[in-house]
Amino acid sequence: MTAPTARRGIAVEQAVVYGLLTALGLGALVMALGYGLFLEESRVGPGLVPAVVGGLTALIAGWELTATLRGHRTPHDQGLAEVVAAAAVDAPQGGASSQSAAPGGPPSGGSGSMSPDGGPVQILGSGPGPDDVDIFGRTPRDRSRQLWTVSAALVVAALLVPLLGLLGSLFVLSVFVSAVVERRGWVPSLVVSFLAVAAVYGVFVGFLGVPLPTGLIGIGG
Amino acid sequence: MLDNLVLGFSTALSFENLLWCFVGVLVGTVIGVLPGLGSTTGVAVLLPLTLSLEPVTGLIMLAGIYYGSQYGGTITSVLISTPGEASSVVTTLDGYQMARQGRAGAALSIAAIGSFVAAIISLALLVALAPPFAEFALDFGPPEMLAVMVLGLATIVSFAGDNRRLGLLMALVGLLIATVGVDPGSGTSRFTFGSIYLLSGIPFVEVMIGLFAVGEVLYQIRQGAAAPIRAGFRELMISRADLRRSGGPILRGSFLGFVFGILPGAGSTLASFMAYGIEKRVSKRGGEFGTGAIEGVAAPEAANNAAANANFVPTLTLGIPGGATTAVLLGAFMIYGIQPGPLLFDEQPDLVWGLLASFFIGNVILLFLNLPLAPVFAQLLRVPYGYMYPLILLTSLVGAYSITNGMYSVWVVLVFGVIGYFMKRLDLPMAPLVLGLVLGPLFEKALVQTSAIGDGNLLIVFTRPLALVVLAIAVLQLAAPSIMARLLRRRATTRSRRSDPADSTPEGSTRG
Repeated sequence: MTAPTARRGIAVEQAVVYGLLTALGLGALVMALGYGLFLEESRVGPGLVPAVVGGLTALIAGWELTATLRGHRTPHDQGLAEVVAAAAVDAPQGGASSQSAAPGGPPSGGSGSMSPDGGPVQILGSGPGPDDVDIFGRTPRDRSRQLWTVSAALVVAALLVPLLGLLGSLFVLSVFVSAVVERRGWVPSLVVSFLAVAAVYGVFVGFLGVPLPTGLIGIGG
Repeated sequence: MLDNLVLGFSTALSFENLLWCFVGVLVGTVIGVLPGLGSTTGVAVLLPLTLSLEPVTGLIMLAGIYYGSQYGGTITSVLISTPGEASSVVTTLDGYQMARQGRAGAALSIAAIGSFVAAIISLALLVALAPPFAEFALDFGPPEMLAVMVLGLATIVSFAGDNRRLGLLMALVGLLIATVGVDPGSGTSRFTFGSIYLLSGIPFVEVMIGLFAVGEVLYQIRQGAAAPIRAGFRELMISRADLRRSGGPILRGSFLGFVFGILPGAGSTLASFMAYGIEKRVSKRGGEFGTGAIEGVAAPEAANNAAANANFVPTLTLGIPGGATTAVLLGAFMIYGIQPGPLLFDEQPDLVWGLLASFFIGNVILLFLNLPLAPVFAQLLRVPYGYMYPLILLTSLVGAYSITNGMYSVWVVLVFGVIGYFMKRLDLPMAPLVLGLVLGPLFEKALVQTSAIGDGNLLIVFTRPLALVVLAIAVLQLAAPSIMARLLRRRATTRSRRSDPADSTPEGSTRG
């Protein structure tokens, strides 16, 4: 997959997400009008906040949708990024590299994308980028397939809970992910999954006393 | 105040609380080191584990995870220039350079010492300021609370991520999600579509687990595997000269961090960058910053730790979180049936003071744990992500189930996991969404009450001087990043004009 193709892919996803958010905002606005914006004596009614918030969501998401469809790229140089750029003046370029910096290698360049205290930091511009092959030789297309396989497996695992119980279906999920998606050997996958499920059982059922669903075949109650 | 501290330490020093504080700090450090995990994820995923504990014990453990993971993030920032936490990003600038010069041990030691000193200073400030602040906040009516929430949202919209419009969009989405369920004012059910599950709203902790844990896992799968990282240490000891150089930066960083940390929504990332920028301004060795100056590690590390503690001022006294992790902690309070706010100091003194005292104890543990064990923690970097993520998924799903003992929670986690994946992929900031979600019900409640006080006239907010001042600060916040950046840049330009051009040659561009 080439860089322009990847960018186009992202733009399509952006358009879909902004389109959905626009629809969500409009839907919320319309439904909120039905709840009533104001009560007696002009007091705030149940519909006011969702209407205003929904309307603004539709407005901003609609704006972004239009910009994306016109081929404009949203600037990512405001807020914390401005302070970062100013604070890091004179410092080696791209002092912060990605999760996957090469050992001993120089920090690669690239702008940082970060959310304050919002979890792990994602720094663009290094590691197996969106267009690169990773250390296991997986192309972006392979990784995309893996992503959807794991997502579907999660849904299937949740659907299997009434049959296999929560721990049973999560054991199957873990084995599937390790052996099929990550292509590890069946024996290590079974052992690691068993140990993981046993640890989760010990903590949640043994220590916390959570009554986990056992399913039709009664695993892990 | 002394009585309160004695009460706090007697609570925090009980065997059970000490044990869980140790567990929290240890697990937090591990979480901070492990790629793909941060403090918010750690607190969200492990929150269900604390449900069987006493609230104060659970909160002590969760807070331990919070500041433990900050230090874990520092280890990776220094050794491999890979910050596990946004607040450790700036540490990479000089910390990584120090590591390349064989001084990783000194960088990690000064980070641990700086964090410890900052924790003590910020704790003293917290102990001194939080009670009067809570007392002051008792006079806050709904209009003032409304203004404070607007300030919190404005700050996070302004500083979260790198595009204000997207920040605002995400805050609005958070507020919109928060409107699902029964309206606090009139009892009308909204957006429930006949579902009994939706009547009580979309559960907050499950949303966090979905966004931060499952969403992150999916994102990492899409990003692809990276080579396991090996890090080595050549020089473990910190010299007396290093300590002397770091004293001032640690003190300045601590106070600065505290000031930024108090601001609802600002958080420790901003504090660390400002501390770095300002230290570069005032330091005699400003020209060495970026090339492995120990001051460039000491100041931001002190600042982010002080800010992490100061984050608890708005969280405990106003019930308004200072950042995404404290937002999850606020969710923990609510699950335990505790409503943070000005009354908390009077109603639950053992909980508040026990928690504050545990910060001190936790930081002592962190110092003794990390000075000798940082190289051991660094070995965790070798664990391939492929082995970790099935375990993260397992813990997340079982943890979510255990919150309500129902599959509904698991489905919420999965749905928000997919949403979290797309947010990360499309660079949509999560912190505003989280804050919007947490503040949504409080915001609406304050709005309804303000409207009742003003007989339907919401403009009453503008007639209250305190609310007006807070709103003015909120408006200023929107321009704050540009102002701060300009101030930092102006000084850098002035200095570079004065200094020898050779001093500012970036060494980082050469392979070490």
